[in-house]
Amino acid sequence: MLSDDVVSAAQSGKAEAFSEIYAALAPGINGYLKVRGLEDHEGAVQEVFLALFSRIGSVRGGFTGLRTLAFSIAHARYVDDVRRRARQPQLSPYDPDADRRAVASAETALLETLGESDIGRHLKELKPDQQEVLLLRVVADLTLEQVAEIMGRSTGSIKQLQRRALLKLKSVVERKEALL
Amino acid sequence: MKHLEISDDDAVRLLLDEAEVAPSEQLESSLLALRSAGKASSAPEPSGELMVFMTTTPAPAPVVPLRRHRNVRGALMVAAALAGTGLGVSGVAAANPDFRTAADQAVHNVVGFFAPSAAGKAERADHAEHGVPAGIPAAPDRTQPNDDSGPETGTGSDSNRPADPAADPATDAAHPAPPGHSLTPGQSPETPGGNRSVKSDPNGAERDPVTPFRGLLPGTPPLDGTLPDPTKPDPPKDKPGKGLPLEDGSLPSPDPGRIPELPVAPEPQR
Repeated sequence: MLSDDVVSAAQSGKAEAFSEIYAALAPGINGYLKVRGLEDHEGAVQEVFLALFSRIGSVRGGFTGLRTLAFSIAHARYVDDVRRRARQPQLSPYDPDADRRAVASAETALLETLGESDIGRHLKELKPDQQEVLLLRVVADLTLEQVAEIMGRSTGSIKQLQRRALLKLKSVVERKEALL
Repeated sequence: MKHLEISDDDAVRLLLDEAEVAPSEQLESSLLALRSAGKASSAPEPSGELMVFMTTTPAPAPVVPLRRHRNVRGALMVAAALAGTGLGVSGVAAANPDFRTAADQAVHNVVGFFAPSAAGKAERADHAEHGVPAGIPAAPDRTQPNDDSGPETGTGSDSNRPADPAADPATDAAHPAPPGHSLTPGQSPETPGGNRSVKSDPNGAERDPVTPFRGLLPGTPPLDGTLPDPTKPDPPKDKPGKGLPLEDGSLPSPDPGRIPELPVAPEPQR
């Protein structure tokens, strides 16, 4: 966590402050977008910080407010990516033999990074809203109020979603463990 | 203000306590793995657009105009064009002798008007003595008989020539009335050149150039507002011209042979 003075310095146009903010927030935003399954999550990170630095003069609440704004922009990028993929459906059937791609997808890379815990596969058994709340709470380390602001819901509904997501994840993990 | 850092274990425990979910070892390990997955990803290299924000840009060098002397050169070109035009006009004017004469006269007039010297005063006095104001060229002497004048018919066909030779303004200008002798009615106020003649009265005061003969011509009341005396006889009227019938209808000469013959227009040939 950075101090609020860094945000003030960035608002006054100091380049070092921008570098510190990027170094502090870029890994979390990159991980959030990667877990969400964006193909070009690194390019999305660039877009998020361009929008964030352009609007840094309007940031209120110090570093906490800046962090909330950064993940709000990242969440909006994720929603845009989902809508874009919905508008451009894959019409041709997938042929594994014809697939020449050598780079693994973001989800595959995430699953690889998750390692033995299989948390990626566990998350896929949750509803999208439940996944979003857990990612924003655990990966982005945001509060209930901040998550509610980002998702456009009330704090009570977010708290309810969070409880159901944790109970679902607990049942999935314990069931997998029992199967093994 | 520095925010307190909490460990991943504390963060997961707080999350489970807040959601009122009973903690379990499998769930905590899953949440810790999810949290570390987000933190493990490294930040990508910032793009060029982002580097603009993150690098200190040096102060821009002062801009030096490449064409600093543009205004000076333009002014010089304009001055050269004006000088060339002026020299050309001056040369053409200097080659014309009429222009030099007129210019000398104009210079004399201007100098005599603004700073009348002794010579200028003498010249003005000389002009005033001849009835011509200073600054106006003297009228040519037209007392000599004109060869192409022909017989006087008195019909006034030539508007520039008055019917009565006594009222000839040229003659009047050449022989002005002596001091103390006022103008008689019927005298033409015009000079031969068409210039308005501003003559001085015996007291030396100049006459109004706008209405020079107000009060002198019959029927024109003076400017002081007084009306003409009805008991006084009317001033003499203009005499009829030579050859014209008199007022009573009689001919000026009883001899019919002296009546000028009227020209007869030739008959058109068919």
